[in-house]
Amino acid sequence: MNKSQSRRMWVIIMGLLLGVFLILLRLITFQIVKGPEWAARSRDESIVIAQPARGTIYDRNGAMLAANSSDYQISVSPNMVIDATGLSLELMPILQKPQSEIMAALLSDRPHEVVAGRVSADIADLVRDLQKEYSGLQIDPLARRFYPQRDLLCHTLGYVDFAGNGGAGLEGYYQEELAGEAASATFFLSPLREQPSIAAREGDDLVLTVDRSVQQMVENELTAALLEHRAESGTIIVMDPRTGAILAMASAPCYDPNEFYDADESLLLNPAVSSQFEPGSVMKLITMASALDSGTVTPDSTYYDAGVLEVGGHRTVNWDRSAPGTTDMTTLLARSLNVGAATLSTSMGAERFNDYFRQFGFGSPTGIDLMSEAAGAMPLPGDESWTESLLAAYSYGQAIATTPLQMITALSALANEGEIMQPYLVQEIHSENGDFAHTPIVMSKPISAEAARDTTNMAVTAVAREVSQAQIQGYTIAGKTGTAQISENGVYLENDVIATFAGWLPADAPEVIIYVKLDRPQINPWGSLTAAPTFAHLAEELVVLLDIPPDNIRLRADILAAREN
Amino acid sequence: MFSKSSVWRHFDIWLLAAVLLLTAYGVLMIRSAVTGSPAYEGFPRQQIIWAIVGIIIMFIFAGIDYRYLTSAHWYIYGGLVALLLFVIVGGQVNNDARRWIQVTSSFQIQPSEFGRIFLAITFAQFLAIRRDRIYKFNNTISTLIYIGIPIGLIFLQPDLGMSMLFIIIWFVEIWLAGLPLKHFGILAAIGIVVIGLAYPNLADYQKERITTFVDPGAADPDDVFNVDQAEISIGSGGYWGKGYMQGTQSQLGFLRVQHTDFIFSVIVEEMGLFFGAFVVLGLISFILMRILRVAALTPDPAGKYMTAGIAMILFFQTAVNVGMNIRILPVTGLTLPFVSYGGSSMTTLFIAIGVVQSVLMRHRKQEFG
Repeated sequence: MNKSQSRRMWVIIMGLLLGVFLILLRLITFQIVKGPEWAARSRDESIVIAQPARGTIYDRNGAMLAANSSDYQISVSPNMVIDATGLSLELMPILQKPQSEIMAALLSDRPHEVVAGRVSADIADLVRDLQKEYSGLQIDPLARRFYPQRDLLCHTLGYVDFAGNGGAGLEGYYQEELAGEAASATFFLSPLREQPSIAAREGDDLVLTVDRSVQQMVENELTAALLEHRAESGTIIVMDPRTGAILAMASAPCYDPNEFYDADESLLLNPAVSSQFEPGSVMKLITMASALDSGTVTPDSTYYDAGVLEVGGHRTVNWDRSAPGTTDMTTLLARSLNVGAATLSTSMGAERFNDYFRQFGFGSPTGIDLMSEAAGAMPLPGDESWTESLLAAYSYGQAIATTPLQMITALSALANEGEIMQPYLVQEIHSENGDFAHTPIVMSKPISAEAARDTTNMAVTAVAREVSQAQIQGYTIAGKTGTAQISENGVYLENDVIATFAGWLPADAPEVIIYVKLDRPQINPWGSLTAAPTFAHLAEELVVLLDIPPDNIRLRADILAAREN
Repeated sequence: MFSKSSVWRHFDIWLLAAVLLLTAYGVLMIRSAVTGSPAYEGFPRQQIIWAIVGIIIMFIFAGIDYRYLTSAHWYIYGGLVALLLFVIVGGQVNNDARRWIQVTSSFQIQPSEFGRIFLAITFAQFLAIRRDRIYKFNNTISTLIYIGIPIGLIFLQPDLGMSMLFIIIWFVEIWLAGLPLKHFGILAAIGIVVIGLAYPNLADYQKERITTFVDPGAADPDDVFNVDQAEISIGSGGYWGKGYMQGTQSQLGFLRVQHTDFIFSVIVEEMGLFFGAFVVLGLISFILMRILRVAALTPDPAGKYMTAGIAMILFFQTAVNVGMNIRILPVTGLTLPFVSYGGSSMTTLFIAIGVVQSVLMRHRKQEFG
């Protein structure tokens, strides 16, 4: 070997030794300098999560309204799969996927591959059969909310998305309670050690004030009314005025929360609490109650109705363009005279009148336990959109935006000795840490008990005189119709109206208050001919379901009881 | 056999011992790496079978005078190019690359694995014949064409790591043959220009592997995941490791292809710096020194070049494999010699050791009796 050659040989030897030395150096710095950091990461990576089950929702009698079921995720551990071709041929018809796609997952060099993201229990069962024959298949349940009553109480219940978040209604409002709390902990995972376990906080169960059979009956009546009057949509709320408990809350059209993802997005909002509209003549009851309570008028007062009243440059006229002259208060309600209502509000003055309306809850949400409740809108003096003429418009329910729930809540003062109870849907919450039961909350007392009784009595007479369609055998009904105009872009529509009826019974000791709202009925626009008969049907069935005795029986029993004492 | 008169008396027992130790160590680590994966259950056993086949092949190659191989170098070269062509046309696709020939339904070979050993032999002879013309630049060009054809075919498969390995074989052998430094300078200048022009035409996955190295954040999440997990494995192994079959990263399946490309991570995680990295790298260094000793001893230029070339193959594979495990080099798929799972890799390395032994056994010019 010549000199140059041996020199070159040494270069190679030194080069290789240097290379090995550099690798070792790098390894040593890697492990010694940063070792503890890596060691921590190898442990950090082992996070264990315990997922809680979402709480169940029951009606007041314990019937299940929302529960949990499962979809399934099909995945494979490719390094556990022995017969990939056979398995892919079996999976192909079950999962309805091309064989090449399944094959790619089975032969992947990742430790875990998802083959089908979300499949039903039937398909999962078929795959489970394959597990006996093939290794490496994995079936994991994915939580899915299940509504056994399908679209019953749909808007009120809401829905739960695939990420486990309540998207509307009770599911949204009580998300935190229903979802519970996942527990997670970091463990030093090892296949050779016993693994510690962690427990999640399970979701709370809810018991509602709603009765499933009352709700079902109300929904049936609503559907029938929409069909009969060819109305576009509608809402009915039934409430116990003494506590604020919602007994039924129905809106149509509805959707099936099991398949919320197929529903039109506009259907997902609950019209009972989220839609805002001008309530119309039903508002005259509130105007009358305010006027009586403030002492502006008494039940025996009269006013002169010239058929027109100009307030703030805007002329108020009666719906039938009549000018009945000297008129008493009961007739004002019975014939639903706009001029009369405006006379009351203007003689009260804006400050006093608006004050009453605020007390009745207009312009602010009721605080019911439902997601996305609207506040309504009631411009006040000082607001940009306030004009003098609004004082007149408010008195007969125009230019003020309310939700159906706000209307029934305000009216419940008349049925409950002047007190407004906060409306609520959840009667009880059963949690791991104990139970919670709702106690009725007085929201406000806008009027005295006397004013409430006087207004109720006038409303009884008004119904008796003008709205025979709302009457039922054996019970005294207090109530008021409304035929509200629909304003679009500041102009009232010619042909479309909202027909409403609000009523409560028995009038002398109310146990239930009902609000019926039918949107754009095509057969006949008048509330007295559409919403009122629907109210009567409801009331007839409700007195049976809620066990409310007819007036004469109840009063006789009261007298007998009094005699015995 | 080992009598004074036999060529076998020069047989390097130490080299064989080191190779067998490393292979046995590899089998044990493969067993740990595939625990819990029933699809891979048979791998340790399969590796043992290949090792036995390899040892037999090694003795056969040691027994044959390597000069039979060098005298047939054109035939071997031609056969190699033909096989590589066949891979391009009718090869088996695994992981998006066409590197394999399916022999029977369960047996496939990777011609480039065989090629790297045989090219080291034939190129040594090619150089030895032309060593008096080593100063002429047109000779340098012809060596580039000679090596360029198989490299081009492997690059098409595509296999970046193997292409690099072939270039390294060319480099170490022509270096030892005495190529003037000036030629290296000219070629380096040309090389830089060519790489500048070629990079935009690399296969996406090849670019990806280079970018993983330069900027790990920008690469394919799959590759980044592999390297991340390998790093955690190695980094958390410490001086003494977590214990055989106790590595959390490897046993819980965070590491992928851990019985082949990432076996080194498993070794360091479970056996630690001392019993893992030092043992493996120590044995490989020892093997390299024994092979280079042969290169120094043999007076035959072809024997000298080919043994140096084989040493370089072992070194380069080790460096690249370990380097990609600790993120100093891109992921290429080159195996860790004698340790990684794989029949082609294992048997061809035993052929290489057989050839080295053959050169050693015949390094005296004349043997009488």
